[in-house]
Amino acid sequence: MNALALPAPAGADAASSHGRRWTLLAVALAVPVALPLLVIAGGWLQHDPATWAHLLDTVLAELLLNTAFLLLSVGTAVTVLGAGLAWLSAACEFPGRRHFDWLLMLPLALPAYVLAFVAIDLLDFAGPVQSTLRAWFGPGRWLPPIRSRGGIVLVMSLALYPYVYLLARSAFLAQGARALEAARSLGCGPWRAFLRAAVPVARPAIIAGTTLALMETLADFGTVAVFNFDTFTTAIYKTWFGLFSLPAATQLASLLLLSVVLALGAERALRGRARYAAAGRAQGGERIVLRGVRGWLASGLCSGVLALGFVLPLSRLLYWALERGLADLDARYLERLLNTLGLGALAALLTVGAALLLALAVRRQPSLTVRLAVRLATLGYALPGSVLAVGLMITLTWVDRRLGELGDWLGLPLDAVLRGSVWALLIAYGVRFTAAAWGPVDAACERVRPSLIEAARGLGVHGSGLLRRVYLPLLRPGLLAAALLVLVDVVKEMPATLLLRPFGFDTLAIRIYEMTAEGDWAGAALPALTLVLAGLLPVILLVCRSAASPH
Amino acid sequence: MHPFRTPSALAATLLALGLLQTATAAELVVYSSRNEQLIKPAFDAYTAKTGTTIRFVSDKEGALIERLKAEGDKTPADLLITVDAGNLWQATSEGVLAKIDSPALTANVPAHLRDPDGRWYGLTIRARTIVYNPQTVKPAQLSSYEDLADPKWKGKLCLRTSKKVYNQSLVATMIARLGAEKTEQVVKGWVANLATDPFSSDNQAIEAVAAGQCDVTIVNTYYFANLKTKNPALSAELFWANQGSSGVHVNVSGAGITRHAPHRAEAQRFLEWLSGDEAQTLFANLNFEFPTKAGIAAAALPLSWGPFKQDDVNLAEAGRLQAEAVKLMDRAGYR
Amino acid sequence: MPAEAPAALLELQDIACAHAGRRVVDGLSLRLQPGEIGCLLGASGCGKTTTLRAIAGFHPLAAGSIRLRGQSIASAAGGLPPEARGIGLVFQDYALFPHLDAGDNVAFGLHRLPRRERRARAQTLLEVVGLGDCAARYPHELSGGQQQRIALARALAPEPALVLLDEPFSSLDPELRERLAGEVRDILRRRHTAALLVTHDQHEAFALADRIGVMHGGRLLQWDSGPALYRTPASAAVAGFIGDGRLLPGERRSDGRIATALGELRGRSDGPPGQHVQVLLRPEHLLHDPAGPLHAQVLSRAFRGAETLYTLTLPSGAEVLARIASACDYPPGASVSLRYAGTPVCVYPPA
Repeated sequence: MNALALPAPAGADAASSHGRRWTLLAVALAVPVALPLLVIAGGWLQHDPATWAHLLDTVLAELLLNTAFLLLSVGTAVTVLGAGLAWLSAACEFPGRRHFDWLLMLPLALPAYVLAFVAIDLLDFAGPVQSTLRAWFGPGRWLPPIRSRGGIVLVMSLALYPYVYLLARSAFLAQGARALEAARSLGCGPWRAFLRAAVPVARPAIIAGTTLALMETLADFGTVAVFNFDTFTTAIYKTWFGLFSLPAATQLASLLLLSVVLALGAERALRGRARYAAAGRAQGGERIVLRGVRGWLASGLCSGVLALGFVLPLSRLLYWALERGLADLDARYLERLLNTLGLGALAALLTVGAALLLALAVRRQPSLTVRLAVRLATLGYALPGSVLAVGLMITLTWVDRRLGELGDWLGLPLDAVLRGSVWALLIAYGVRFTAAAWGPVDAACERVRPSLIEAARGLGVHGSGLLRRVYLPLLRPGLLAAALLVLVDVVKEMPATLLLRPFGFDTLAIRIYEMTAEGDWAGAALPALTLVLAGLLPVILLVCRSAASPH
Repeated sequence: MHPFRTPSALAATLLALGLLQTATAAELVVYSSRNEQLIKPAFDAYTAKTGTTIRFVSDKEGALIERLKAEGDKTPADLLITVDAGNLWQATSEGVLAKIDSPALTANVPAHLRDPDGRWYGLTIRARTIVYNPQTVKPAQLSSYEDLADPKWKGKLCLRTSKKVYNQSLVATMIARLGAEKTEQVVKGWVANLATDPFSSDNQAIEAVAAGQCDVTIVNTYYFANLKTKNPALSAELFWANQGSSGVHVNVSGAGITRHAPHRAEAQRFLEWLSGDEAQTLFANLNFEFPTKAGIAAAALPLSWGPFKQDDVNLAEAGRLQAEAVKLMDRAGYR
Repeated sequence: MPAEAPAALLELQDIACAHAGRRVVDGLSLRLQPGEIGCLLGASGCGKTTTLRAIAGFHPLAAGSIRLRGQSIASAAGGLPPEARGIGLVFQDYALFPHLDAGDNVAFGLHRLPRRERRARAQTLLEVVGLGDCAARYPHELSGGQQQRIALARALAPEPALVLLDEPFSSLDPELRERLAGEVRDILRRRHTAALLVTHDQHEAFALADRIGVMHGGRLLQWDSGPALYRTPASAAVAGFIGDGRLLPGERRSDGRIATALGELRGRSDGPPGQHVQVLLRPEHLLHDPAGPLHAQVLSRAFRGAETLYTLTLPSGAEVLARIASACDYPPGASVSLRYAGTPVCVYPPA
């Protein structure tokens, strides 16, 4: 489902006290997101015409073009790659398919900035690959430049396709084979049937995946910084850190946000009244068998993606880590690892809980207020992490001050309750990653037909019983997928963790930041490797879950 | 339903741990944009000597300054430690640093490496100079930063991105010395001479020089020293720029006491200690940077490059002109 | 097949299909003429749907061959892909594309036509199925019966020579089912489109089909017209599946008649005297006659309007069925007098 997709009214509780409760809940969940966004939009209150004039005169046009180029290319590449691979693994049969099916999810654990650095380190002019080629064949450039538009699109696509793959794969699996058979009986070949019947039905899932990937692309700073590629986000950072104009930076950020809102609204409008519920039961075992060369081509494609997107970067990290020796591997490492995983798990639980409540609210009380609240709550993903982090920090500090005043008045020690506590981090992750959880949770809720709920209520089950006995069992796979997505995202998250963590609270991502801030990538290899391995844990769980599903 | 009962208990424990730490006394809190590995040894040495515990968070400079602003008089932070005069200048202009009168600091830190109003003090010197490939370039061909804009270097220059504050400060001091017009000519010349797109790190630029992708680059000396230590055979050498004119561009890592520091006197004692012999010697051997205090020897490798003349433009000036430098580089097409 | 046989539209020759190594269809042969409506009838699991999927190209053949218009479209070695067979399909669950409106669903198979023509053809077909005003509605906005008709229109749109229908009416309520079955038959007739239908409901089969095949355990027991199936079931198994009736044991006499608990009956087929057999006794073989020589006790009865179907027990203990005008009211346990109508009965080997 689209990050902002809103289901049609179903099983609505007409204007009752129940309905009001859902409205209140949805609004309460949207407020923590709304406040930092408001702070950011508040940048417009402070005029900075000089900075704007400068940006307009010099770099704005170029970086808008760059950003558009990146979105278009990465969007196309992750959609084709993610949906294509998902189709291969969900609907076809070729050598090694059973293993590729789960192996292809692994790159999800690898942060894009790590992949970017490894790619440049390996493939740039001074890197080992080109140095070896020069040693064999003489001086000159033996590869197309990696630090180029093509290079950055390649790296981001390899890092971000798993979002599309993950969501499209389950959509293809859940999709009835009937629609496909119907298309083929109407004269479509297997590929035509794929494009005209399977893809359109999986469209919400594919779009949800692509949306996540594009929002990451928009918000990305690490990767474009490694490539020195100027985008809207680098402009935000430059305006803040180089021109010292936080207002202009937040103004740019709010424009970014506005464009995301418009794009999502447009997609929603285009979809119109069409529904995407799967036609018929899912059918296993009837795969398109790719024989001979075609089968090996499919295997080759999967192996290539896996090698470039996962095996190669991981080997390089391993090489560095071993080269440096494992001296860094002390008790603090265990602490960082536990902090990372504990924080991720806690954030996943809270975020998925919030997404579930929102998804239920919008079904039980599909009023304009609730739907707006849901849209708002799923916006945080598109903002560059640092900008959102500052918005949050200002908000939390303000709340802390009010709490402090309240504490003074009551005679209670209520100083700095949020700021610098784990709560601040959890709120930040919730604000940022509710969008990531929303997709799978909403899609899962969509599968709970209203008739099931009505049947349960007819049998006298309601309230929390309904949640426990009907919703949760039916939603479990979707909730798990959402939780794991959030966990992986939190583990990789850097800017908000840096700004809002308690004193002395270290995670693996922070260690990576500290080492790479001075360009010591070899030193960052061990924490990066640990981060990837920690991120693999949830991905493997995800894999086990989908293997246990009835296919 | 109560699905969050157990996790919230867990979170509460974590929170309680955080609060307990806040409650401990006899301590200093530092906001640092310097990395743990470059600053923690000094903290540990001070704690061993005085018993004062030092807690710190590291983050990007801009974020730390915003944090100090937002916290205002409730801030737990006593000191801000950061790299680059531009950031220190920004901290003073945002009003988060306090003015300090300290004869010890004035004596230890040379005048051009501290705020004229005493709000921040340089602790280590970081020189930004020319590195060349000895197989293609003779030292006699090199002279100054400005000379690298000469067409004779066409296709032979590598640079790091203009988004890095080191380059912003370098260009800012050039504006201070040469004026904006002349500086823009120089930067345009650099851009015209680039062999390849600007790199995202000094290390990459040095490695590109060594690999023969280009002949010269401008980098901070400690990056060069680190690479050279790892690989002594690296085909790259260091050249002190502008020795016949303004001197090598130097910048600092420095510190200031926050305006609302809860432990101001203790913070000042600590800052004075950081500028003194013991800490300066420690810094000199941590990252191949140069100590600010006169008479303290640098590490062996930097010493082997010989003495050099420093640009004595006051670094506050570089900070003041940094935004202008960024705009100038944007105009010149330096990415 | 013998060379002199008339050109069949669809010809299955000795086909076999396997699921996970187990043969679920075996030695099945049948022929369908152009414009003819055929039906495969059987309980669930008898292999009828697998046969249909094999014809459509979604299930491989383990043996035998399938020919359409004289051309081989499938054999054990492989076959044409589904899209190249030109066979329309209507699914049990309709399988309408949820992302397309009714018009686009119907136009889906017309992708070789120019856009404008496509839409016009779709509209024509929607009118054929009586849903001319529903083109812009999405599947979830249509009732079950409407979805069914859209599915038929979609299958018919590319003008296939043959349409396959898999339990097409099973998810509709009985009243609608009967009406729609009639409509579908008329539409297929008018367009002279041949169809093969799969169902477990013999009334549906009788209502629609020219030829019906009874399937059991993966085999086709008989392939014949509805009346022929009823009058002369080829085996006791078919007899048990089609229509009302009971099997009675008997023995062949030297005069060819068969001695049973009902007395001597005329057999439809000859055999050696002394042979033990069983005969199929339909309700119409027994007539209600208060003066009749046969007496039986009412076991149960089912009211069918003008007539009531009685299940009766003979003194021998055997069960028979009889239709008696509802005006005569015999409660269970009552005694009824009957006589044999004299029409010949079907004779089968003993069970």
